Order: sequence, then C-alpha cells, then structure tokens
Amino acid sequence: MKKEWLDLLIYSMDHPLTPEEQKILDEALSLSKALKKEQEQLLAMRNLLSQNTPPASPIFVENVIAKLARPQQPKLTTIIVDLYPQIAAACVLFIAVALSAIYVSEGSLTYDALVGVNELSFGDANTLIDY
Amino acid sequence: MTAEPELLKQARTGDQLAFRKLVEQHEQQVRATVLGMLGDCPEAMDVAQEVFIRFYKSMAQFKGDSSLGTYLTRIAINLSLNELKKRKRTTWLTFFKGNEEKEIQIEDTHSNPDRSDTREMVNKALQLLEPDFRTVVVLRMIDGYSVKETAVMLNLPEGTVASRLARGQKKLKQILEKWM
Repeated sequence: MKKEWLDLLIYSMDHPLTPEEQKILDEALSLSKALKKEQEQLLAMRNLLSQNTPPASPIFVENVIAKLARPQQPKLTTIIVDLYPQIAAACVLFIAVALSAIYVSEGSLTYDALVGVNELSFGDANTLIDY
Repeated sequence: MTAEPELLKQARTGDQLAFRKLVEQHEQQVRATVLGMLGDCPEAMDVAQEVFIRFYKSMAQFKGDSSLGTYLTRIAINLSLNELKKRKRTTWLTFFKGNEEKEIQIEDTHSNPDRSDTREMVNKALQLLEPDFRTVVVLRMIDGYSVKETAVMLNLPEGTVASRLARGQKKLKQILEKWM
C-alpha cells in the first residue's frame, strides 16, 4: 500500500476531494486490499467515536441546578484579584513617599543614597571594625 | 418545545426553568466532550458541571456570535485542558512522594460489546493520545465539528488541525484495532 494512498484516504475522511483525487482514491481502493481494509477500520473507528455520547442524565442536571442555588464562598485568589488595584495603588504610593523622603534627606536618589551608605567612606568601615 | 434563543432570553432574566432546559439540551454533548478529554473519572463530572456554572455566570456576555453548543464546547475544552494541567502538576507531586502513576489499561470487552463498555473503552483509548491530538479528535470525531470549525475554536491554522487529526487518528486506530 502506497503512503500517498493512505494519506489521501485519511484526508478524504475530513475534506472534500477534487474529482481527480476521488478518481485516484477509487482506483487505489480497487487495487489495494490493504487500503480497503484500512478504510473499513477507519470508518468503524469513526463510527465508534461518533456514538460516544453518554445517555441523558437527569442527576447531572439536578446537580448543576443545586450547585447554582448553593451560596458560593469567594475564593482567596478571587479576593486577591479583586483587591489587586487597591493593593497596587497602595504599594506605588508607599514607594513614592519613601523615595521622596530619601531625596529630601539625602539630596539624591543614587544607589548609595537608597541603600543609606552615601555618607560612609572606607575609613568609616575601619573605624566600625575597630569599634 | 421552546426555541433556544427564547430560552436564552428567559434564562437571562433569571428564569431557572429556562436555564434548566438549556442544560438538559446540551448536557450530553458537554459530557461527551469532557469525558473524551479527561476519561471517565470523578473530576470529569465536576468539570462538566462547571461548564454550565461558568455559562450561567457569563450569560450576559454571550452575544450569540457562535451557537450555544459551540460556546459551551469551547468552555468545556478550556476547562478540561486546565484540569489536565492540574493533573500533570499533581503527577509531579506524587512522583516526588514516590507513588507510581496508575497505568491506563484497556480491558478486552470484545466478547461483551455492551454500549457503556464501548464508551469506556473509547474514552480510555483517547486518554493515551497527547492532549493536543486528543482535543482535535474529540472536537472532530465525537462532537462532529468540521476541520474549519475546530481550527476556529482552537485558534489554530486548518493545516495544523488536519495534521493533528491525521496523526491522532492513526494512533487511535492502532490502539482500538483489536476491538474493531
């Protein structure tokens, strides 16, 4: 069985074929028993899958309605997501106030000023070690 | 029987009976999709129920651009994929705890081809496909959407859907061959 024939057969299951393609497939099916068997198996499998719908379940419907009637506790993640804009705004405000305070007291916003070591020198380090 | 748009309109005004009818009309299709995606497990029922609860909560946003069936199927696929991700994380945790994952076994029901057994067998076989392939197989072969509709639903090119479908189909045929 040629690979192109099998590919064409599989393709034909989900797409309409052009008249030429249909002719090739029909000829291939008449020539190859293996391809014909493949077609039968594919159709049987598709039939099996298309009939895979479970029977109607009144209990399922009842459960959905009961779940809707039940008051739902908000999840922690939902609470966090809901509060996110307020939390984010508070954080931005806090950072702005902190930066302003550093700028007012230190006169700059350099890394040393932010860390609080802008007025220290190597000598101070020695003094601190000796102390 | 009241038409679906009318039921939707009534359900939007808070009519529980109309909503119940909508659930009755679509529950089989939604359950088929979720069972195909997750297999016959307790979580599958929870996910299927969650589909309708999500729909109930977002009914106002449903504009009717697609059919209600398609809208519900899309929710079902998304929730099922989320559940699969959760399952994967849990598998990692159980791996670290030293537990072995249960192997999916397909029993030979050929001698007793009962309808529910066949369904169970098909759902188990579907679990052996990668989620990407399983999704297109479920949408195309169980729910009956066309390749084009499946592509739109999954936001994928048609060619990708067609190739996943072909590969998924081949693998599924190998798995089910003994029972056909």
